[in-house]
Amino acid sequence: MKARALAVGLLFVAVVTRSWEASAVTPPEERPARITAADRFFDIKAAGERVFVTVGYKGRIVRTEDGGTNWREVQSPTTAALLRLCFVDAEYGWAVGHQGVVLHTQDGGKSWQAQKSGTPVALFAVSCIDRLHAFAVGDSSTFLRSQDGGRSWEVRQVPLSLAGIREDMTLAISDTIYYGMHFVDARSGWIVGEYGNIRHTTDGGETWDSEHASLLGGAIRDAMDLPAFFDVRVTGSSAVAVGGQGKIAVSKDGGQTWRFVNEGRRGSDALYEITAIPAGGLLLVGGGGFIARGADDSWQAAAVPQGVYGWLAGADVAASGNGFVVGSDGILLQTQDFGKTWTTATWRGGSTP
Amino acid sequence: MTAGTARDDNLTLYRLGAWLIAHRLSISLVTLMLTAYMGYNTMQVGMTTRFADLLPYQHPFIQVHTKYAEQFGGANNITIMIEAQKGTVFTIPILTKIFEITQIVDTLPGVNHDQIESIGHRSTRYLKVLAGTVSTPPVMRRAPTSDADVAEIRTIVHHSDNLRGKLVALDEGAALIRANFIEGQIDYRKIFDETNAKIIGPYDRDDVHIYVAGEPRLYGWIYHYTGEVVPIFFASAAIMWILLYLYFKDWRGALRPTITGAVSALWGLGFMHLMGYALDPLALVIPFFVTARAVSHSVQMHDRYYEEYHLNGWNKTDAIIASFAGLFVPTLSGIIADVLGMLAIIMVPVVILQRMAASASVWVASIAISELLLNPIVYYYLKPPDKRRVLARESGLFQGALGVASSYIVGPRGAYVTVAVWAALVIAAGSQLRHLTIGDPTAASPLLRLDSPYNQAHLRIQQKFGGVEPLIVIVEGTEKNALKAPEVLETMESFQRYMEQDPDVGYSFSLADSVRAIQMTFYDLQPRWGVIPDDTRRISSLFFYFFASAPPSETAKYCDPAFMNSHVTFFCKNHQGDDVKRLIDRARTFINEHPMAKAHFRLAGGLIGVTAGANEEILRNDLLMNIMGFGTIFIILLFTYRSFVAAVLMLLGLVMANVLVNAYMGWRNIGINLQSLPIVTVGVGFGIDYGLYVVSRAVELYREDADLTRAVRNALVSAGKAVTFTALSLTSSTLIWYFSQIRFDAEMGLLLALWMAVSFAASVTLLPAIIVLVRPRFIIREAERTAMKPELPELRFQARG
Repeated sequence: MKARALAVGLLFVAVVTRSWEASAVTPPEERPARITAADRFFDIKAAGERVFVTVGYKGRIVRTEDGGTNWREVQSPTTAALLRLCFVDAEYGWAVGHQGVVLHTQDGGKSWQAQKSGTPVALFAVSCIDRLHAFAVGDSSTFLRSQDGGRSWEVRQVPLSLAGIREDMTLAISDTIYYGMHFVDARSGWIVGEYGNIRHTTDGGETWDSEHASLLGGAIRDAMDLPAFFDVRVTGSSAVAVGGQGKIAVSKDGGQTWRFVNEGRRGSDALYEITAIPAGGLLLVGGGGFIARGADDSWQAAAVPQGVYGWLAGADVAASGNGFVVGSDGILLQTQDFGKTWTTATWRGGSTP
Repeated sequence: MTAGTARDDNLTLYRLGAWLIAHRLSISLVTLMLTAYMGYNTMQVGMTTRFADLLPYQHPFIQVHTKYAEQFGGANNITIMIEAQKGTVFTIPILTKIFEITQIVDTLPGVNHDQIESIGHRSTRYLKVLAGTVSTPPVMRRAPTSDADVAEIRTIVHHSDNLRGKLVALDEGAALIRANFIEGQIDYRKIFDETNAKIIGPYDRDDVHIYVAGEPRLYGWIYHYTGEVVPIFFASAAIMWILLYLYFKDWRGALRPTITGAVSALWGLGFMHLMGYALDPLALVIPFFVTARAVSHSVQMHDRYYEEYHLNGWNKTDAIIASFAGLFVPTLSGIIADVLGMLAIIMVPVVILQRMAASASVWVASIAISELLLNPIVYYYLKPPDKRRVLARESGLFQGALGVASSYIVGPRGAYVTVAVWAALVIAAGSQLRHLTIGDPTAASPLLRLDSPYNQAHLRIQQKFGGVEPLIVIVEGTEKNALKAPEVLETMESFQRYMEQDPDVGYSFSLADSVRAIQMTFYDLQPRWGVIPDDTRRISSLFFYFFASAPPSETAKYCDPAFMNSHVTFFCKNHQGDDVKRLIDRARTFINEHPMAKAHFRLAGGLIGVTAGANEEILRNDLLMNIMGFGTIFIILLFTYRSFVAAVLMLLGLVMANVLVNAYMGWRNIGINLQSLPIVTVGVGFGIDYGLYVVSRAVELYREDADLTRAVRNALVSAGKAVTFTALSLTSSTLIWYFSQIRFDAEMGLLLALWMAVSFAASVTLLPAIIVLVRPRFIIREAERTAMKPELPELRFQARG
């Protein structure tokens, strides 16, 4: 009888074990958020010496407090793509993005609050002077300014520049997109955008000059043939604008006259951002994994790790020489020598690409 | 049942044997003619494999896959990687090669011309905005001729999210060509040969290496390896013949099993052709084992014949009829068990398995023709064996060793030791069972060896691109233009990001990526524009610009012309069972949590989708196969011995074999997949024979000498001898399959050999030990039914005349 029970038991066990073992499925583990090759970051800025904040697609905000050793995901009030950042000091800063999103921080990017921008259009650039004065610019010639730390934003329209525009085209390009801006104080600033537009204001955005007129004449007569400019940077009397097809335009007279420089770089990938290097000079980043250092008409390509060919959209270097570049494919590059050489960094803590 | 009818049963068998011999001429003529007809059909059996036949057609995933495979790509994808030996692919010669190879791929037989993805294909377009005009030219219209051409192509790739990292590796060291083949028009052998002759041969040299992966390529390799089946078959047949000769010590012993094997093979293969089936190279190992079954049965018969020849005073006819009657029941039970085991497989809704089940069951059933119909006749025509050889076989080393071992097993201590050893084995095996997985446990294809060129190519592409095996999720709109709703595209994109958090997903692609890429291109290649617009009008105009200048056949791979149906494709790193399960669970979670107003997701196509469907089906059918396999045998045993205890006792050995084989699969990382599913039912049928022969013999012997222990011991020495020999020779000749390049055949060979070895070992050790310990009543009862041979002198006389 014992044997009989044993036999039946064994049969049962054998038949059932196989099926049971097979159906004992491990539950879907929730892993910590990772940064993958599908992630895109559009800008990174330092808030003080050790803190860097990067923003990107779907309102993503990632932050480090220890110079890039560990990265943490920050709660974001939006799912709209965040495109640009600025910090006035280690605590106050703004971020702007699609759907007219303006975010504000008062704790170095640890927490963000949405501000009412009063516009639904995409905002491509932001520039902040102090804790009260900030500006933004974007789609449909939209220009924003605040004089109360962003509690209220004034929405204005940048009038169309007629420089180099044929009469019959004015209707078609009535709403120039502005991609880049740099305000040097609360009154004086530059904005750049489509059709080679380089506009300058000296009255906080009431009126605008058309400085790109100086680029016309000679080979280029029509503004439609000018590249789109994506960023502008002014240091004293020397100014630089970069844009589509890798074009670099410089001015040595505070923006009065501009000319294209022969940048002497391969291909024709666009340049997306200009950042000031604390030790002096500027940093350019662009498509095809391109980084360059220099000023005015002298630019040298930086040493970028092999195999980085995605677009680079944002960069910043802190006073210590420690800096980062972000872009497509979850790319994170780090420099320790003010941008001369770059290595691939890992998103440790929040992530691994 | 009364004793009278029981006697009649056995009397009938003696009469049947005599009748067969009496009508030997007509019977053999009719059988010969039928066999010749089947043989004629056998000659025409072809060899094909169709991917669709491997899929469980009733599963909803497979139905989705079948419905959309032609438009959005199915599982029949070939992936060709062109890897630069140094530097990047952006040089004139390498881009030229990519362009030329792409054109060649477009001419491969059965290729879906609108489903080729490569930077060198006309359907791979980009949006070009120049001085206010919009066009969508191909990335490469022709091979580049200048560095400026190369730079232009490179810039396009840099700014196209749908190309960078997808058709060109992120480090730009390699490019992919992905081509889909039309189900039904696909000829694996042709694709394989043409790929070798036109692509790998001329282009894999100097500056580039070429790697080819994907299901059509895999099957091409399998066909390539099927040539090796012939030497394997002859090697195993040769081993069998040599062993048979050594065992019987004369040529008749080798000839008789060969006749049975050949006749049943002709019937099985002939039937296959009559039904319009073809041999599948993946299932070649199964017919081989069916032949092995045939041989196994006839060895039993032959051994018994020699024994009876001596017992019946060297009278050939008496010996023939006595062995026929003695083995009729175990042989028939064994065959019926095999047939039912094979037939059970028909319940798995997979075409390849159903066809295999139908033809293999006929094949097994036809063993009865040569074993139970022709057997007495063949012996009658053959000269009787040499008496000295028969006597010599009754002593000798083999016989002696068997005697000692048998005495120990049924001895008072040995019986307990035997049971204890088996119990320990099962406990040890149990620890390995948890490693058992559903589906493929390795990233590479389990059909071929890990170091095969195919698996090497597969892994290389995987390393470079992160994922090559597609999981296609269909997006079905509920109205026209549903795909233009921001909500739908946003959800598709969130789905991609959600799934990409899983480490098995390399990257993904959907219409949402295209929309982003189109918008970015439209606005001066500014990546900050690379988002999905938040209103339907803007999306409509982007689609208009992009799709308007391309022919509809080329845009069909993104979505249908009504903008209703599209897909999200995830390129995964492997199709391991656990990973596939997790991916599908993850997808289901997302889909349930993100209902859309204008569309819904449907799982799932692509290799991962159909594998998931197959695995879910396996999970269901694995239990079914186990129940069917063990259940049918249990019922057969119940009828054969008319005893519940007998059935349970004899199943023990099979359960042992099942546990140990499963443990082995867990240990060696062999997953339960569609192909290994039939192993349990096939194995159960094989394994039961040994027990049947031993127990039936013990019953006969108990009748002559009412001492159970002695009867069991002597059964082991007599029937056990043939059983031992069969098991040894079959196991060793099947192990030859281990050398097959087709890992599936190699592993199945190993598993079936293991099944046979374990069930044999259990039948000659555990089973007799337990019988001696338990002393079941059924043996005594059965012995009474079969005691009648001496009462039939007149029958023998008749038969001889």
